[in-house]
Amino acid sequence: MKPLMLTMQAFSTYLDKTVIDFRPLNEKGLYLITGDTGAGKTTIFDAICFALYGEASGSDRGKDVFRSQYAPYSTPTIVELTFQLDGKDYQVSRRMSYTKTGKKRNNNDDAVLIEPDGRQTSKQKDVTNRITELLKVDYNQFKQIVMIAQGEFARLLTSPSKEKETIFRQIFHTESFKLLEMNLHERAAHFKTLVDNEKTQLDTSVRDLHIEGLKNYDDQVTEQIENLIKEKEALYKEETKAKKERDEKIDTLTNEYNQKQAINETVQRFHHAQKNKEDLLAQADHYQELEQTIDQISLAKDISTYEKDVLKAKKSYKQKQTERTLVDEDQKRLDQKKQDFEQDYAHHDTLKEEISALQIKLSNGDRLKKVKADYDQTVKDVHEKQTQFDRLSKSLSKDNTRHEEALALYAHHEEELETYSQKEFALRQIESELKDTILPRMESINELSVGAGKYRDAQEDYYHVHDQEVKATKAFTEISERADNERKRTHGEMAGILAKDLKEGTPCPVCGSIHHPKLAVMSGHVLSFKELEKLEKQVEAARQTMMEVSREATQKQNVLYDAKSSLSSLCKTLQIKEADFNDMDAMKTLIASMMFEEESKKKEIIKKKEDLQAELAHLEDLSAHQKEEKERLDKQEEKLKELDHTLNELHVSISTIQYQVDKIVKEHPYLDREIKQLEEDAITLNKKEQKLARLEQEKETVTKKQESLTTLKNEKDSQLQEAKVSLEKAEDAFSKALQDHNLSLTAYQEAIHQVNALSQYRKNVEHYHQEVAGASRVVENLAEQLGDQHELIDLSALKETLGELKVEKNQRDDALSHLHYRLKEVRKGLKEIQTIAVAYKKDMKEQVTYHNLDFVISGKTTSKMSFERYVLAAYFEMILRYANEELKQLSEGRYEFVRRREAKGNAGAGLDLDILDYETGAMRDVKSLSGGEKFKASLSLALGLSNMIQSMAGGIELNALFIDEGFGTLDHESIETAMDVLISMKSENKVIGIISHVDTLKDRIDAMITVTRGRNGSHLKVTY
Amino acid sequence: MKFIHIADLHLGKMLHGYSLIDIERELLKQITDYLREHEDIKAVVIAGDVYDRSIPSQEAVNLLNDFLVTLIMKLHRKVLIISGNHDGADRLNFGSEILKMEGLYIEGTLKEKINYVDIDDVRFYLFPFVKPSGVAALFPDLPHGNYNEAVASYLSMQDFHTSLKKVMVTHQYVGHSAQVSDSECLLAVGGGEIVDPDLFDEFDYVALGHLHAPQYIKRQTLRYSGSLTKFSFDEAHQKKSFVVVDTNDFSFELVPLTPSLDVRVLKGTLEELMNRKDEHPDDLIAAELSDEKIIPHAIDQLRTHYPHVLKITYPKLLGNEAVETKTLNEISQMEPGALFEAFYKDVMGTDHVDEEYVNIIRRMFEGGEEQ
Repeated sequence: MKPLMLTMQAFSTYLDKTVIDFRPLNEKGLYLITGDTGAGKTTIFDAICFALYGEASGSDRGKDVFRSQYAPYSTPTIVELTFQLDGKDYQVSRRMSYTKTGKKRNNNDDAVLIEPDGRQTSKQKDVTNRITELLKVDYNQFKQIVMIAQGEFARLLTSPSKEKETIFRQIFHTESFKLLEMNLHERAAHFKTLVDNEKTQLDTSVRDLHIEGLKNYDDQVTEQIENLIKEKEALYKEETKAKKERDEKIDTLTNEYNQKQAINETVQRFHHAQKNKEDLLAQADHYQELEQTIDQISLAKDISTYEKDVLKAKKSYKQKQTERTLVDEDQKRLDQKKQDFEQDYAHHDTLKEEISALQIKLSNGDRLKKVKADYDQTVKDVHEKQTQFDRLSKSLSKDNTRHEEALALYAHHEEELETYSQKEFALRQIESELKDTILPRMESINELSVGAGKYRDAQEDYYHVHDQEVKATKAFTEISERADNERKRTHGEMAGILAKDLKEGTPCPVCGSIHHPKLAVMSGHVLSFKELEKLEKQVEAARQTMMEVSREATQKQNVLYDAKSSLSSLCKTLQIKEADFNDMDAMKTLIASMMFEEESKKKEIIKKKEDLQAELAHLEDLSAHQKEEKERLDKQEEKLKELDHTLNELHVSISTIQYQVDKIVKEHPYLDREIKQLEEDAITLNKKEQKLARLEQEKETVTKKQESLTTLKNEKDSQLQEAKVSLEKAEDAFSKALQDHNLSLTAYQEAIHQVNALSQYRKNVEHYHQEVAGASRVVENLAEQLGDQHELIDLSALKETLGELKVEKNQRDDALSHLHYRLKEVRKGLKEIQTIAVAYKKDMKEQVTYHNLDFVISGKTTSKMSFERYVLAAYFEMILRYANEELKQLSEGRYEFVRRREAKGNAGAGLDLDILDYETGAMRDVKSLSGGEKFKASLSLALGLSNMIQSMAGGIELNALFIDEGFGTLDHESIETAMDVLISMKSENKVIGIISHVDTLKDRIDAMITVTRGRNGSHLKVTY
Repeated sequence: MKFIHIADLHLGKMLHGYSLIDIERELLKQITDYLREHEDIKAVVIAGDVYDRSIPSQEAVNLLNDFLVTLIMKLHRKVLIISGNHDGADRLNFGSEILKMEGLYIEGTLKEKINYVDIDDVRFYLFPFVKPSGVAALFPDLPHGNYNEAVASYLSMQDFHTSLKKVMVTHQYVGHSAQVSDSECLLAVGGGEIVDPDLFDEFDYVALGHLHAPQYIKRQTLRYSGSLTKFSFDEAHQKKSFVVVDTNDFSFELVPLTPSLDVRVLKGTLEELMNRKDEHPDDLIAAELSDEKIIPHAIDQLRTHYPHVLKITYPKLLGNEAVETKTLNEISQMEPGALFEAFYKDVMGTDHVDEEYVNIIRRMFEGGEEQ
């Protein structure tokens, strides 16, 4: 697990959002967090711990201490850590927010873990659990291995074997051993329980047999039981024999007894039967009476038919009476109805009259309706026509207006066309101006410029030649002078003498001059004649040159004058004043400005020309267009006229119709009202007609009804009469019957009451007779059977004997069956015991085995080392080997870790540490080291463990190590050594972060986080 | 003229808890005595690591004070000092501007333009120890990824043109494969601290400090003077000396240093060592006992004969295998049954394990089946 980025806000001393990027520090492999006391160094570790596990790094710092004192309540405390595990990046963040009073909001504790595949976990507990899963160590283990907190570095060192076991188990995956141990223990326990159960069972079985002296199971028990069984079996045999004898005896006696008993019974029966018969005979009278009653009843029964008839007739008569009464009632009702109807019907005739009057009225009304229809139609027509008229007139006026406009436009265009010739003329003027004036002028100006140039050139030439002339002249003068001089000299040789004496002011004999600027010097060098000649020739040549040049000059001058004159003439032509031709710049400017003027004039004119041309073209178009327009306008006129005409017609028709309408209105001023009245009348008529129809109908109904009712009345009367007759008949018959049989009505009625019991009475009588007969028979039989013996026999003695015997039999039988049962029981019991004993032996053996194994594996042996711990011890040895490498360096070869072999006390050993001190050659307890030495030992152990884990593949990735202080306990030399060790540990994958305020470390380690305490919390600076 | 080149005094250092200050005092006295006898030595060059730590002990400060007072006030020689990686540069630099007047030149801070001192016809360039970050602070645009680059960059910004002879005094770790001993400390890992000797080709002599064994790199005049004392037991075989350099031709002489207490390693069994007659039993000794087992309180016994035994090791006991526990590799390769056998034998102290037991264990490992 390598931290990559840590963000803290309102966390302990970090008020503002502080971000630490660990990546460059991780690259360095070893970095220092330094600063003054209380600046906030350990807080960084706290933050990492908190982000991962929700807890502080030191166990004495509680979670709530983390809230920054400076934070306003609205700022939540947030810690976010991005870390790398297994090459992938994870991000975990936790957050606590607070209420105004400073209390933590419990609901608002957020925690989020985002994994590289996007899976998210939230809620504090879940995140912590997931982190524990991912890192494969929980908070406590993390602190012992990865983050060595201030003051707690010795924990791993001094922790007992059990704690170490837990840590190493996770790291080295010896869970399977632990599992084995647990399983074995389970198995041993299982078998123990089994064995115990079986023993209990055996014991219970033995005890259940209730055998004297046998309480618990042991090896002899089986034999004992078998012996017992044998005994019992013998006993059983004897008893069975005795039983048999006894039973026989009892049988015999019982038979005798039974016989005698039977006889006694018969005697008793005889006596009983006799009595019975007597009783029956006593009842004879009663039954005699009963017979009589029976006869009477049957008689009454015969007569009863007549009575029935009578009743029937009565009923029928009554019914008829009722019907007759109903008919009377109906008649009454009908009479009432008739009365009502008569009243209504009285109006019958009036109604008829009214109806006919209305009908007449309505037929008149039809005519009126027609009128109305016409009126409506006409009004509609008028309206339509009017609308049409309006429409048309509107459009007409529009068209007219348009037409006017078109005409105006046409006239306007005609005017325009007239300007055509004017414009043509103007155009021609312009063209001529251009041609005649401007263009030639421009040409002249060009000529002028050319001329000016020519003039200039000529001038230059002239000057040039002039110069030459001057030069030539000068040359000539010089050379001729020289010649003269030479000549003079030649002559002057002679004059030299003369000259010698010549003084200034003295006239020369030759020329008489008083001044002698050039006294002839007597030079040794005198030109010869030839030389003189040559010189003369030169002079001549010079002169020639001079002449030539002079001629040329003159020529050039002429040219110049020509140029000048032509320029002047040009100027005149151009009407400008003669400028100074010598000033070329002014000339140029002038020419240029003139040219410019002309150019602009030309442009203007050309533009004017073009405009004019355009206009002319336009006018031509226009004229063509005008013709078309004229035609169109004429057509339009025609159309308009037509329209006007139509309009007038329409107007006329409208008036006609309107006239009609007015007429109607005049005739029928109240047309509408009348129509309405008609409608009402129609309704009234309808109603009256209906009423009439109804009346007629009703009359018919009433009449019919009366007829039927009368018929019915007659019927009913006759029926009634019939019924009466039959009734009388029936009554007569009945009384006759009574008389015939001599029966009074009362007697009859009484008898009839009992008619239902008739059959029962008959039966009773019959029964009685039977009984009597039966009883007599019985008595006879029994008497026969018994013969003489009519008295009971005494059986008491026999009974007693039998009873005694039976009792004995029961007792002994009981005992026997008891014995039998017992035998069975014991046999069964024995079998069970034997079966269980087999299993017991087997299980006992297993239990012993497992118990032994458990004993050994779980470390209850004297060495107190469990199997797992044995394995772990090997790993531990390896760790110690790695750790010893570091410790050797740190302690300069003095100390070495040794794993303790003997057990101390009951705590399982195997993972305890001792220190071998080479100086004294003795073993020392780890706790006996000084503070600094303990730190070195812890550091070595942590580094060794970390190295070991690194070299094991597929284990926990704990390639980061954080050490909080501890260096303060070391002296200068030790710090140096420790630094050497740590620096030499830097490898690709490992990162070691150290918190310390010790200055020496700052010199040795480049990568640093410097923490300073400001007024409002801490600030960080990262350098590397 | 001549000058003395020393370095790595590490005043105040302890050797296994024994303070070397007295030996250092003695050796410094040897140097001052030598100077007294040789008047033609004009300067003493101390190439870094004067103190052992950035805040030195009082004794160390006093010792240096005495030494410098002797050199400057009594012997009137010039002293040139640069700070090394162990010195607290700023502290060492204290008062350096004032001290220049007296001929004591201390260079503790790296400046943009390297400082130098001219003595006679020699220019001494004083290059205090610097890390790449130090160079980066002055010339941030130049490469300073490792020590070599940083030093190269710094040197490239300097102008060494002069008609005088040139001596460079530096404390960087110059060299390819040099003799390194325990007492030198690692600055960075993986050779990142090594500086190429070719960077100093233009100097007539380079006075190096940092490594404690006297040696040269590439050429005789590119030289570590080595420390005055032996600082760890693996320096025990080295012959310590100081360098006297003649600037006329840059020849040099190594003058041996003879402290009264040497640092030695004794080998033998305890008995042998106790019975041996030793000429200098007071020396600082590391004893390598060749006994096969640890003898309790061996060190106390030895100290009766050799009062300054500082360290005991038992080389024969290295590789002290655990007898009863198997090694890790073996264990991870053993199958559970065999593992159990070994464990059982060990714990119960027997040679024989019931087959049945082993089978049960094997079975339970394989499946955890119910029996």
